[in-house]
Amino acid sequence: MSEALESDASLLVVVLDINASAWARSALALDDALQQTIIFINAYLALKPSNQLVVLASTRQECRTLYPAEPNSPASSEDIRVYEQFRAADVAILSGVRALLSSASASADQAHDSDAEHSLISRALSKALCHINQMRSSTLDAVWPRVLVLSAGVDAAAEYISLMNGIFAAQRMGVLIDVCKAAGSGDSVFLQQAAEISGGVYLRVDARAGWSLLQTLLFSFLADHYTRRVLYLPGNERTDFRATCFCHKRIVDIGYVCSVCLSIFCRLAPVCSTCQTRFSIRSARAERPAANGVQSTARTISQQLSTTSTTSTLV
Amino acid sequence: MPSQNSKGKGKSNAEPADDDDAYIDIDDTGPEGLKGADGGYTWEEEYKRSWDVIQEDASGSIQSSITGISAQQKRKRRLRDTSVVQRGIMRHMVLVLDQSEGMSTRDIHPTRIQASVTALEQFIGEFFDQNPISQLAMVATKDGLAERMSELSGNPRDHVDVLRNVALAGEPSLQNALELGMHTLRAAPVHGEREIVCVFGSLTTCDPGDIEQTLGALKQAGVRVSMVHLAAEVHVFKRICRETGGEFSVAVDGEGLKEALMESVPPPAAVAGGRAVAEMVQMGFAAKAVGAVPTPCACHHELGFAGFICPRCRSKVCTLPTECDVCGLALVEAPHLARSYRHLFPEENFVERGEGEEANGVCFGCGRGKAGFQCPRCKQNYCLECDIFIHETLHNCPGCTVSVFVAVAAVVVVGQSANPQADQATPQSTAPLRGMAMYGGYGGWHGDEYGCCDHCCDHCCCCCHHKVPEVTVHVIQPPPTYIYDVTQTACYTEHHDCCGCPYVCGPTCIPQGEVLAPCNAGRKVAIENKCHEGCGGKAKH
Repeated sequence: MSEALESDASLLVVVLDINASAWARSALALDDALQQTIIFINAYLALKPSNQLVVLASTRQECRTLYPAEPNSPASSEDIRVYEQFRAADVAILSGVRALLSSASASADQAHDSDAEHSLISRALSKALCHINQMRSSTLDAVWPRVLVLSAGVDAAAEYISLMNGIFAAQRMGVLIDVCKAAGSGDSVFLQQAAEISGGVYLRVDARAGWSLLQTLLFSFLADHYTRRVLYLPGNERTDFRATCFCHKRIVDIGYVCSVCLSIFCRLAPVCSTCQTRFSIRSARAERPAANGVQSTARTISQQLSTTSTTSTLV
Repeated sequence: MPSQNSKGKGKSNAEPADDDDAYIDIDDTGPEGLKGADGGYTWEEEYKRSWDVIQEDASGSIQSSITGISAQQKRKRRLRDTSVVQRGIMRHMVLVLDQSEGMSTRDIHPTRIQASVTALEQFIGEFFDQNPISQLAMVATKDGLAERMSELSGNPRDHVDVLRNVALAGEPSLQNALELGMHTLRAAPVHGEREIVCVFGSLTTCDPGDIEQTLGALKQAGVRVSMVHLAAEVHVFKRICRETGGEFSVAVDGEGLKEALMESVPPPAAVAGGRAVAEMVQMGFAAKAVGAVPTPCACHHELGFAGFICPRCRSKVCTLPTECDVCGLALVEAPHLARSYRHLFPEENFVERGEGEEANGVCFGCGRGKAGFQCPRCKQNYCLECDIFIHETLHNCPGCTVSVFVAVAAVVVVGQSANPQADQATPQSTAPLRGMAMYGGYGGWHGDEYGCCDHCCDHCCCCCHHKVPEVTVHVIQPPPTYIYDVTQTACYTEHHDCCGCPYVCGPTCIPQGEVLAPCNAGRKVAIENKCHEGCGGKAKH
């Protein structure tokens, strides 16, 4: 892929995480955060007339496209004092968030469990990439896409694979994933990896320590592909890519990986606890010897391990 | 002209034939295999005028017609194998590239070799993108020999670099290439898949011994051989692929070549009862370290500030994934493992909704296109563009949330069952081979020069006095009707002065000392008798 030129347009996909329970605990109110985000979005649209924008919002239950709005949505009253493009974006985002929150609170009664703060970032990211793919294939001009995730919730372990798939697709398409952790305590490990792998920026805005969301957005996330080459952006401390073992949830330096399902363990085991594969014995490694040899080895090892049921069925 | 994929043709089986046929085991035996849809032979069919397919619409534009054709082609690619089966994730693959003079033919633009190099570069990039913890090696075959271009390694740069300088010479040797490939794969651990993928342009091969023995050894070692041929279907090539469980295909243009190669990118389904053994593989998760002063890395000896530290021996490597050059530990990062999960849990194919059904508005993914496809799990509708994107790049339906643990459990249940292709992979019983004449399209290694028939026998021109038949490349050749003198078979492996038969260094060691042997051009030259492998050297002129 060639380098970005100054005249090239950008395509920004903003993913708003509006998980109500996550924002409820935040020092920064959702209203304020939305207002500041809208200022940022207006600034982005004002930078270049050819800049394109997509806004997605995700709650715990669903993920919707807020802007560009569907063509059949009701047109609001026109206000000639505001630049048309700003108005369209602002109205679509605010009304979309309102509709999404009201529908979310209606169904919120069913879910009072511990993972109330999870949000569907992987779905939103997949959708964002679909948008980018579609826009790319429909235009011949050079458009440089990036995704900005305004994250509030916590990582959901079940999302790991789908999120990773999205990250790798973004990396392949040359899409930067910027992450602004605007609310919630602690960092999001998954999104840190997303920013690191795709070449984006990960920043956590700590409202309690007096950080301003708007300032962070304008100073760190407004720069396009072309400008980023000459900027040294903050927040690129190296993420830890070491793995956690599946058995004890410890971070491992040297782990054992099941060759069938790629589960990571911190010590050798005769059977993979994830996929139930029985492992071959290490002494049988070089070449498969005659069956007798393996059986006798199995017998010795089973005696050593003094476990009867699992190891004797190894062969 | 359509790609002549081996899968497309009818199953061929060596039926017990009478004596004449026993030596000419052309594939697609029986007239059915060569007959087209309307019962005639392929070459008797009427010439298809591709421009007749394009029709003008009412306004005189051909745009809609072209859109329809391209959508059809896309849809064809859309359907993939999505069964949740156990797959060989850790792969060890040897790429064999034919570098014989036959590769200089210009029927594929610009030349066969250029097209192959371009396709292989793309293949290598794609292979490592999708199989980050796999390894690749490259082997070239020319002048009747096989030589190693690059060692087994997980770094795509190593392999792409050697493709820059490719020189063509002489005839290829399939047997030597396979033996060398097999030898390379011998070092691969038992839990890994072993594969050989060949790109061949020559219709002939120049082998030192019995290819049957090599085939037996391949099967025993559990090596899958797949091949893309740039000219025509050659029986021996196809048979090796079929019996080892690989794919044989014929590429008629550059696009076809790329597509055929890309078939080998997703990891193959593991064959139940196959050679690969499940193991716990020790892996190191190397942490990144940035030093104050530049230090050389253990792998390339290049100075640099940043690097990854092997957790076992503390040596520094510059890229991941790799194998530590000091202690041999496989070094990865957690995302490399995550990258392979997509093969374990493939996204289901979307169901195409009929024209009659009411399409549910716009696409759920991009919000723009017309939704004509539905995800069977989350019942969301997608447009064709998003459908292809989701299955080829994203591997993730935006409407579904998959629970990891449910998916893993699914692997357990289905993964134990036999792969449906396993039955096809089992060797088919064939009559014992006598000499080389069993193979259609085999031998004829100096056919061009002497006017010997190129595809009918393995004899030298002096031994078989056949007229040169008209050979049309790209068409499966009709079964030859001539009868061979099988008593002359020995000519192939023995040295005849009259015709300059090949005498090349085989996979086994031959005694040291000077032996006079003719090279491919028929001149007598001295061979330094070293085999490629066991004793480390190569036969040289």
